[in-house]
Amino acid sequence: MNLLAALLGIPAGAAVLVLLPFPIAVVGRLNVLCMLATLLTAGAMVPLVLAQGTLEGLHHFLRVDALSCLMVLLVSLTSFLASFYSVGYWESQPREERGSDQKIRGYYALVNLFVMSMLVVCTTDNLGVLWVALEATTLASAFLVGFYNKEASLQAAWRYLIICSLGISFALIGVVLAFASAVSAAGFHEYALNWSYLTSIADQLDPTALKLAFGFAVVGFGTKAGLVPMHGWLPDAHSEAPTPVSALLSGVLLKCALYALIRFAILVNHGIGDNFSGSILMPFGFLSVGIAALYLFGQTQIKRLLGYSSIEHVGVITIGLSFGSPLAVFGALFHMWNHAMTKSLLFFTAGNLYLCHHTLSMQKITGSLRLTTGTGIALLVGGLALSGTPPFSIFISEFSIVSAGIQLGYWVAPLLLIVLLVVIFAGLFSQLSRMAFGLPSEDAQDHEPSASPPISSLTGWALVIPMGFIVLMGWFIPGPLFELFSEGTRIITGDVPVETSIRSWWGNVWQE
Amino acid sequence: MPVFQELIHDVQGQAINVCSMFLLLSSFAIVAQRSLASCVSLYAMQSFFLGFTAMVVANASGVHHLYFAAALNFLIKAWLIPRILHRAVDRLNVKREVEPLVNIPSSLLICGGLMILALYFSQPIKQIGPLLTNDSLALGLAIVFIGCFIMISRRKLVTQIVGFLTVENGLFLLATAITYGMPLIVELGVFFDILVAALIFGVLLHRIQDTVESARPAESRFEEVGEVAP
Repeated sequence: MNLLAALLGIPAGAAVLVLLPFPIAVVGRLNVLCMLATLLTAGAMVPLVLAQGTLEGLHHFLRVDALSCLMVLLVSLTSFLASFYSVGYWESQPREERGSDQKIRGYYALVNLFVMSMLVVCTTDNLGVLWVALEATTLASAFLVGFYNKEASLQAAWRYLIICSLGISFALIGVVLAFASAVSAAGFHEYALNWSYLTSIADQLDPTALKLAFGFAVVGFGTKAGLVPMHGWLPDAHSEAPTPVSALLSGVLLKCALYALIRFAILVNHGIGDNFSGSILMPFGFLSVGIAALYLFGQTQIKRLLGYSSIEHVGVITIGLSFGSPLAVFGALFHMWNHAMTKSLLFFTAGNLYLCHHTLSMQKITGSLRLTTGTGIALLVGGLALSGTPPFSIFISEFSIVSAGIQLGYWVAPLLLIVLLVVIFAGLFSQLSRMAFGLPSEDAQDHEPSASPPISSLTGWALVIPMGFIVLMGWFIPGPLFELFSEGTRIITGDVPVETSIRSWWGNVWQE
Repeated sequence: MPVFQELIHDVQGQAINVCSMFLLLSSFAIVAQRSLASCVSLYAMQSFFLGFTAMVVANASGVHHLYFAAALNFLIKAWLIPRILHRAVDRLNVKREVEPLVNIPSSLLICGGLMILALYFSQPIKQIGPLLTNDSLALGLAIVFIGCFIMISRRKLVTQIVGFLTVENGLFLLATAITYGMPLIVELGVFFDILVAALIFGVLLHRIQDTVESARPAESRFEEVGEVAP
């Protein structure tokens, strides 16, 4: 209970704290400390959740089980990394580009509000509150997307706000329908909007209403998650936002929307059974991976490229969820984590390249291995990992999703996925490696505006943690994290004893 | 006096239907309107009818927190948000919708089609809602669809905002019709979100107006910068 209050209280307090008139260097570091405190709080919840199953608080408004705990951990870790990166990023930009100190303070305050609303999304038990918090994430991040106040970024912010607000309105219809069918089935109940209560009476709910509710939820939360027909806002928002915010949007905001979708899918599968949610989600997943694979080739700007790659990975996670077997769901959850880490690493790298070359255009950036060795290595490692090459962690999760599909007896779906992943490897890695190898272009050196401050070494250090995660987690998953993944899988797929099947599968991979 | 009570009940049901019809009519009027200021005023009128519907439903069903929601409706949606929007419109250079993507007569026809679609969709979920507000369910869904259509088919940013707010109004009617409103805490959260969204829309509108001469659609940007449109 106290932990939950602290988890939401720290970012809320930090949002006020950063507005106080400290020097801007102090504000950034204070913010890092606050995010670290949030992360430690989230970490302290893990053993409790593993021991007790759930933590509850605030009159049944908050409820953290293994699945939520996993999300909380992911959100707080990525936010910590982004806030750490922010310090160096802002210090390395000239004042006329980043704006006044007051503007940076506003930036930190909004980031904290953004993180807090994501944490509410992951911890609340109440469907309505979840909707409100998810809409709040859009509102908090709209100005972050339009931070630079240029025409392009304002248009991106507008698009983001319009498309996400409209999309998520449809999710509210889903929420209302679920609530209405609960009230009509079991009478009015104080907690009739709570996941835990709804899931417990799921078999009494009207199946037609549930199906419709899920359809609306897929459209609504899918818009926020960037699933394909509704993805129009995503590449613009990712490329126009300041780099740490891009990492947050791609790394965790999309996952929060997916989390909401997962909760709905659990409810629907309890009520209807038959992996109904999977049959709806699978086309969306493949469409996302397919369209993203095509668009990856035409990109000229690195952050847009990474945006399209986010659509692809959301698609992969959706496919994993739609297969519905424990191994696939385990892979999907693991993929969420891997994608967040890899994408943060690459966005930070893109930010460093921008600081060095003053452009995001991929044609103009070459030879970063020679020019800035650390960033070049990060670009290569991140590029290999993101395009699903062994031995990095994304390969493992994609592999488990594909092999789960084959185990289930599907043939077309896993094969199609493999083909698409190969196409994506070609599209993504060829472009990223071109930036790493070769000679640095001439104008990279003379372009150097004398006014810009020296690049802070903090921007380099920020790459270390995500890089460590993607390399290490290709080999082993730390014990508590593994337990969270398998417990989360059990929550999603029901009472299947996933523990043994995955452990043995995991063992098999390494023996081969 | 059971006869008398029945009569009252009947009148209440009729009143709810009439109010919801007015709501729908004002959405159609927004579709037909080209002046931005009139769109905002029509939205204010729509919100007023929505608040009135909520009051009648509260009275008929005895669900008292709906009175509170109705009051918030009058305060925020019928007064505060239109005020913000009117101010935004006053600052704009162009005050009329430019050539809509779909012309107005065919827009109205399409909205008629959307209405039928909403009726079709609401058939299977009718039985889970209370009898009294059964018919408003389809109307709420129709307003949601029409709001979406406004957002998609109109180019002016202000009209897009009005479309979004129309969607929210439709949602409120839907929630009121199907469950007599959601729990108060959620309702409050939704109101708060809409208010903040309207404020942000207003600020963004000003900034876009400042950076770009007139508020142009997002599409035209890509041609200039030379990037690939998604």
